[in-house]
Amino acid sequence: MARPYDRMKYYLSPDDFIKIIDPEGNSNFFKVLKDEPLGQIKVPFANAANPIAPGGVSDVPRVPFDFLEPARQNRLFQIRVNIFAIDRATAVLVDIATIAPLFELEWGLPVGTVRGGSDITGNITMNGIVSNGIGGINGGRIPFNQIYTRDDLNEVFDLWLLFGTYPDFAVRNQSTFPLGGDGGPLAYDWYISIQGRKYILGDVNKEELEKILNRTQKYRGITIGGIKAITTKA
Amino acid sequence: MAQPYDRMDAYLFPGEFVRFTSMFGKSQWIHIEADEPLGQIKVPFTNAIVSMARRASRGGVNNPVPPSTFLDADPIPMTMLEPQREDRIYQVRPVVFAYDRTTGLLVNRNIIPPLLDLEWEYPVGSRRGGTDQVADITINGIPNLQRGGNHGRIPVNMIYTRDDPSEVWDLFIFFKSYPAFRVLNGTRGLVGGGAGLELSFDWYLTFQGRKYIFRRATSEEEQKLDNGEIPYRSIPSPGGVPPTLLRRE
Repeated sequence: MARPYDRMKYYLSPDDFIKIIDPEGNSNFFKVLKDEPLGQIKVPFANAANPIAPGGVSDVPRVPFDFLEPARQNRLFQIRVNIFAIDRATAVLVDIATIAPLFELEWGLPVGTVRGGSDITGNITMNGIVSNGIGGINGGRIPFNQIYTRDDLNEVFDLWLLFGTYPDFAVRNQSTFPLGGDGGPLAYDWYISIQGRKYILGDVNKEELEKILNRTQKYRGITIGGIKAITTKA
Repeated sequence: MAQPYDRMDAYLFPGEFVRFTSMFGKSQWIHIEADEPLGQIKVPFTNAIVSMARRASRGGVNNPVPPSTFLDADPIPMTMLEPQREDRIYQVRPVVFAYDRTTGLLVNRNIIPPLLDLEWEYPVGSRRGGTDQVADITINGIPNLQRGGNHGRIPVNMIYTRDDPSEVWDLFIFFKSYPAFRVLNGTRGLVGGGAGLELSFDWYLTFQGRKYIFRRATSEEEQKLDNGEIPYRSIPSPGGVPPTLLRRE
């Protein structure tokens, strides 16, 4: 039986047209000339000696992943971030889809600009439980159990990187157990892994641009980083 | 085994045209200019100490089914979900999950009965879901009072959080509006509270989705859209279908 999903659906292919939109709202059309998979790049972030305590964060500020910066102007990287854990007692992959979404990735793009969340925070009391400062520009995070490693990685949180930009990451543990360490149910070796694809871009010619603007040529819109935070500009 | 679904299918993309229709029947073409995932925003509603009452037992075979208990007298306004500019939309996917504080694991949705429900208002103060009318139904001798009407609720086991939260109840939220939610417990279990009880986990209401910047379609684009020369998607009406009490079609 054929597999029921398309692993390549949200990657670009040579000859695709794209519109790149930067965080300031400037945009331009490009044509994809070449592509290549990134493979997988692994970064360990918790192990027996370096756990993340309950309620803790791995790093303040977030850690810049500067190796992800394309080194030329005509290049674009599509990055799919995922998390995996290895049970060091058995050496097998842990099924983190079953782990509560209280282990989270906080991300910034461009480096230093936190992403996700809403425009404003709210102070919410539900069932008498007071939660102040919910949401806001640093209030959205990616739960581990939605970006676990298998052969059809989650594309919802894809990052797009151009020359001069790279992301930063930190891990937050909102649970009651340490992440990593020597004991407890989550005492595994934890990794952030980066997969995706790299592309070389070319300019579109006049005829192609005309077709794009007339909507007779399809294109895909790609936002670098995200939308502007409300606090920076009225 | 990998999953047979497309996680991005119900989200919008920059460059797309979208038609939205307000609850009062007014519609507008818009063009998506930029997008960004919301990540996940969490609101806890029970924990090790604070629980949510279980539904009372029936008093006898001829007694009505007792009503669900609820957390809060009215749905709680989620003010942080209001976009702060006119040219922004949030596509919000409400999701409920339970954390087993004894194992660190996500509670398996297969054990959560669809009697634990989410009730929602959008815009705040305007109850959503349900039908136009209520009726008293007796089936197999069990009387059910006032079924229908605003009794449409979202069972939390249908909006489960893994990497494919259900898009069926997506809300599209515009400037100057935000939704409100409360949880109802129609189960005989105590939700939250001390360890060892049936549904005694730490429960969270969360919001995922995507935020967009848009612009209005130009008159030239509107003409092409009207003529069917440009494809577009319609998004669920912000606020939904008006109740029949307010307006006759």
